[in-house]
Amino acid sequence: MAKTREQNHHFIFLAIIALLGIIAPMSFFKNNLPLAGLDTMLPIDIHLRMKEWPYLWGYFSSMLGADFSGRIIYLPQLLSYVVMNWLGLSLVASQKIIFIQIFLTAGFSMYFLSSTIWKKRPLIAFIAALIFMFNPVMAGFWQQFLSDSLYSFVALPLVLGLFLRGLETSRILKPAILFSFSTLLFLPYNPAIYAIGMGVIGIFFVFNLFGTKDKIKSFKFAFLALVLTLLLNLWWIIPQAISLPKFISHYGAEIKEPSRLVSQSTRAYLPNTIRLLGNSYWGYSLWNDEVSNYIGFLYETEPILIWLSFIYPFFAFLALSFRRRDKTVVFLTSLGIVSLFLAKGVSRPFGSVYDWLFQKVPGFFLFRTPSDKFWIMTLLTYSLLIGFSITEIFNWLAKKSKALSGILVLVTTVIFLAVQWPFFTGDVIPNGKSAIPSLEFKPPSYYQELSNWLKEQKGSFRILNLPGANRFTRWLVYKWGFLGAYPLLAEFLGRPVVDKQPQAPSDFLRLAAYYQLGNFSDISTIIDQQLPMSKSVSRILGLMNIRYVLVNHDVEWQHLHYGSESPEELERNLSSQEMIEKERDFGNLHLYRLKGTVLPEIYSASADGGIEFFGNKKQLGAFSSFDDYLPENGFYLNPLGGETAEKREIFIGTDYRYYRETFSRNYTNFPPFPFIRLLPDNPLYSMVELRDFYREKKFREDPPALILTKLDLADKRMAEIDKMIKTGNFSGLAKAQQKYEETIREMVEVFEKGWRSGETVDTLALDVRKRLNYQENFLVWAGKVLENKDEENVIKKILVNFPNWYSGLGEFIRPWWFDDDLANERGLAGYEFRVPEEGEYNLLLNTHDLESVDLDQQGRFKIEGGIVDRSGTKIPLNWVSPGFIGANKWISLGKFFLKSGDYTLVIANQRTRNLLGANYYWRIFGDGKNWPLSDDPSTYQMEVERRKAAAFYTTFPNPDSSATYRVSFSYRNISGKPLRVLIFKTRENEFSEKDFEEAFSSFLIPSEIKRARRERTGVKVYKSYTINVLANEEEELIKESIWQRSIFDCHPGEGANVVGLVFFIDEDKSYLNDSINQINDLRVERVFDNPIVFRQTKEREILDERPEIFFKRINPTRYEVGVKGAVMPFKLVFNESFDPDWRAYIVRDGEKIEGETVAEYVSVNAFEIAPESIFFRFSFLKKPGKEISRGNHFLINGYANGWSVDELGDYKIILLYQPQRYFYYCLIISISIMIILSSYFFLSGYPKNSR
Amino acid sequence: MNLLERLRQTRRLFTNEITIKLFRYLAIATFVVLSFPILSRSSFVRGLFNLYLAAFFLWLGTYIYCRLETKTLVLVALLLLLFLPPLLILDKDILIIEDLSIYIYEILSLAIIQEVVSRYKRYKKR
Repeated sequence: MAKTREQNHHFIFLAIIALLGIIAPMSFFKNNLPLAGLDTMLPIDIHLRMKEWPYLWGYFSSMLGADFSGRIIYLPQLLSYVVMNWLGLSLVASQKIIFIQIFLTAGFSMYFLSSTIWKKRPLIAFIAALIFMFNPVMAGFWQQFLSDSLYSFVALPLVLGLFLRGLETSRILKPAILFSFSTLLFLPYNPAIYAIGMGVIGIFFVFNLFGTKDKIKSFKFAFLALVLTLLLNLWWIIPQAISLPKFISHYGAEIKEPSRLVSQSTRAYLPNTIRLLGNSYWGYSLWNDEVSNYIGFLYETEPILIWLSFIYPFFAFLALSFRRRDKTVVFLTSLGIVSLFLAKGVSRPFGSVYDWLFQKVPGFFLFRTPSDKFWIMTLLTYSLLIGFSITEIFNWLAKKSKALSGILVLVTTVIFLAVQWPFFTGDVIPNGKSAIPSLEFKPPSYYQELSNWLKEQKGSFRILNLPGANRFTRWLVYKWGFLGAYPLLAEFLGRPVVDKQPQAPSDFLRLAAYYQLGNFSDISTIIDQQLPMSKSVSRILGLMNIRYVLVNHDVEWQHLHYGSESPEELERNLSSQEMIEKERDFGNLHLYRLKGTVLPEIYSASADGGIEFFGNKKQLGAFSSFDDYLPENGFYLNPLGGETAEKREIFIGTDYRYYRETFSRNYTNFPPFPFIRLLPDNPLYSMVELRDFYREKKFREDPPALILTKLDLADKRMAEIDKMIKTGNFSGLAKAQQKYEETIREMVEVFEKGWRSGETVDTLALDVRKRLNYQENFLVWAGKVLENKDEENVIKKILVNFPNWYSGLGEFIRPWWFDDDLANERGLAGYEFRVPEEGEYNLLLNTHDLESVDLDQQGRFKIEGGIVDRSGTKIPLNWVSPGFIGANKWISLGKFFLKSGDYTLVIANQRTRNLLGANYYWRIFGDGKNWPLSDDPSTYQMEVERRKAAAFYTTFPNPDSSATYRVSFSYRNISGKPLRVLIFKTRENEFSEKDFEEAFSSFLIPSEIKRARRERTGVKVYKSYTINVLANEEEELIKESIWQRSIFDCHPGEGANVVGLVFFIDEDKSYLNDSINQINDLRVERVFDNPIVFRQTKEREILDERPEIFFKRINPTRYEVGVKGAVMPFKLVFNESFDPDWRAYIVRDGEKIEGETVAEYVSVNAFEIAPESIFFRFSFLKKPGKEISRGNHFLINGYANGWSVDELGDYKIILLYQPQRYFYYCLIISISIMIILSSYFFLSGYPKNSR
Repeated sequence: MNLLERLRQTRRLFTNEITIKLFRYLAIATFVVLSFPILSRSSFVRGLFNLYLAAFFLWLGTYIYCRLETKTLVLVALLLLLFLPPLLILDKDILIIEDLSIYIYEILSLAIIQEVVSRYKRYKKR
């Protein structure tokens, strides 16, 4: 009887879960359209996707080909789309089924897990399942439309449940088989969440060991389960393992950037994390007056929702207070506490623990966004604990009144569902109510027209899309309502479309192309080096197999952060280019065609060596602008030895030493444990010193870390001195000064040592420079003391004991502003370069920017300096221009005989004037006040009341968009929040206050105004606040009451008509006092940083002995190349991004390459055979022939694969991506194991639970 | 004297009434002494005070002298949790809200530690 009742309960609960799991996703599809955008990659063209996604190399990548091992995870989901397509279901129907699957998996798997942990308590399972399906974390994921991730991660409870059942039963093999099969549902769409999920299973295993008597059996089961899981998952484990080192070496530095950890953790502070709202997807920002995440916004502002959001922690932790709390409840609560601690990241309390883990534990960088990763652990424990709590209350009430307890269950269920109402109204996904456009996918018809037209074009080629986003993960916004990082165009057009700006390792070529066309947005990557603009961009595009340039008027170009030009302007730039002409328009898509040489995917480069390129790769633009440059010759960044030296050209790009002002390291200012900021006058201050002492000891082997520690220490010492001078307490001054000097000296020693051994990086130099300001400040104070206090003895002592220590730094590494000519901040500029072999080199200077130069009456200017080698020997350089010289010309400064080695060209900076002059004025936006001081009119005081926001801005007179400007100013903070500084630009001719408000209001308006604006919905604005703002990041100036000099360079970029400087204070509650800051001696100057190259040209023999090349793409990871009539060694160029895993094999007696010739490339004697798409043949498993030595595989054209081929005559070369071959093996193993295990499983029946 | 004897002696020393009294005073004195740096930290004026240390002493005190049940500790924490929504709604200083949530978090953690320790003791006795 009881059993039947329990079964009934199970049935009713499961039916409700199923019903809700179907209702919720169906509400997303209001107009029966497929949903695409944000982070979900909807398979628009499933056939095309099958040609691309089962491979580990992405031919359709927007990055000229890339390793896509990570994408192999999507295979099961993709296959289910394929099956549904095969069954005749439409895309929208397939998507509905996938979404229903996500919800049902979440509900049923949690129900299963809960029933496994607490048997015969269906109510717990029911509540837990509801919580797991509908909760703020999931809502955040849906807001970001991360359905691909959810597809896999909702299966964790099922996997865990099966594991726990396996531990309980007496049998081993079958439960292990079942478990290992379930892991195929739980795949690493996100490696960090996957690792946490697997970690949770491990923790449960350890916990289970305490309660079980037969520990040996548990271990046996766990071991078997692990082995079977590994075998079944081999198909993705091995490819991912192969690509991991590559991934880390490419992106590691960026991922490990600690500042990211801090910025990502800001939302995750405890009050948010504890109620599951710490997830960064749950955050919202204001896009003008529209919020980006409507639901997140409501949760932060609506009182009732704030109250209701606390029901999650309340009921979860309530579980611990019940009498029937068993060890599982205690265990789950502990797990919840730990996961909360991890999910909050570097926020208090003890945030330094996470920081330590992040820095010290290898691989921990995966968890750089803690709140977006550890949610799975928190949510799992919360769901189970809430279920437990509510059931306990229910049982307690049931003893008193059955009706009451029934009502309780109903009410709580309704409340928990009502809090998550957006799941049922379809508001949980962006549906047009917020600033993000609706996800409904409704592209205009001309996309199809263009696609059809392109299909008629023969041969393989790429398309360059303008404007491009500046990161490959950057969202593109289409006016017809699409927003996402997803390579939409490639899938639409069935051709590789380069539509994201470079971030990949070998992509400076794309950067050069984008730059030349005026669409460069990532200032940080190019500001180091000016590239001369040229009309020869088609030469660069041709190298990349780009045949068409698409100007996309559908893209909201203003959304592309940090400055692209408008499509109209981009078209203007295109039409001014040589060898590019308009093809035709397809609606808002305007297509241009290259008339010049477009090189094929595979060809043989000129046999006579081509060009060797050394130095800064970003100077490619300079290189291609030489008139005698021939693209089809190929150029080498990493040339091999033993080439025919008498026939080549050496081209050395110099590296302009630019000392960039790093943005203030908020991270290092993060107060370490115990979060007590002790001031120097505190008796416990010595504890801080002690800690610093040990820290320093620890970091002794690590110069950058040690220098940072020293810098901190120097800071503190200077604060002490400052205080002493202020209070007139001179008794300890000499000692304090001695200590300070000692610190600086030690720091310089480390710095010099590091620099000599080549470890020093620019940023290090910058930090040292920052500190150098203190010396200046120190002398200024000393002067003040002398003046005011008449303490001559003290000042004499200071001056005597303060040697000019920085003179010890090498001449050219010394920051320019600390040179003899400090008065006008002129100093020296250095161009570093490496000479590969001795010879006579022509030194060429590009004259693209001479406006900043102080020409004499005859229009002449001087270049003074010399070429210095590492030993300090200097070859003098004194050059005077003959007269006026036009712009964009290469002029020779002389010929120099140089031995091989490292050199620096040191030239005196040209004299420049302060563009602002003395009469600039500040405009104010917000609640700020600003005036020149009465006793010193050159100093401006800027005041903003506490908790108020304001911006002070001024514009550069007549800015030149192609120039680099150096902005320098002295600054000090008297009290309150320090100023932030930002460079902005706009295309408008006038930048009115209204424009300014539009661009800056979203982070300057106080929250009261934000609240008032809440009601204004309906207008869709896609702009983000970074519009028109040039700088990558704004910089917060150091909060110091001493004068500091801040210097940084900026580049307005094409089309900027108004460029200006903003100092601003945003609303910040954490400062108690009004913000008072002073600015003095603001200078804006043009920087003379024209490109300089060294060039050596030797006699060229005109050779045209290229063999005939026939090539055919079998699939994205395999190409067959026929070589005919090779009479001399040649270089084979393969236009996919260089990857050491691409291998070339020579086959002498293979089958002929058959098929229709679809394209001919006369200039390089190459023919393309119609490509195929063959996923697998048994012959793909083995090496096809004799491998071309890996030593002969090199980078060519700056991004592509090149091989030196010595074989003569007629033969075939097979190019293959090696990991794909391993993938075939792994797939075969996984599939065979799958077949064996499932046949064993089904043939022998599943054992009944032994308990 | 062998090691065991020495251990026994040490144990006697710690369980002796005078030592317990001494510890009590030491705990209070530490609290008083530590309150100086706590109060002098710059966020004091903005936040309330260093709540998580206070939570620790609350727990330490109760654990040594008048043991509170885990249930009571949890209910205290949950009661305090109910103060968070009004503070958020009234848009109070974020540091105060964070301090309070840290306090709640600490009490919950200590309740868990207490529970685990007592369960472990029982487990060992068995």
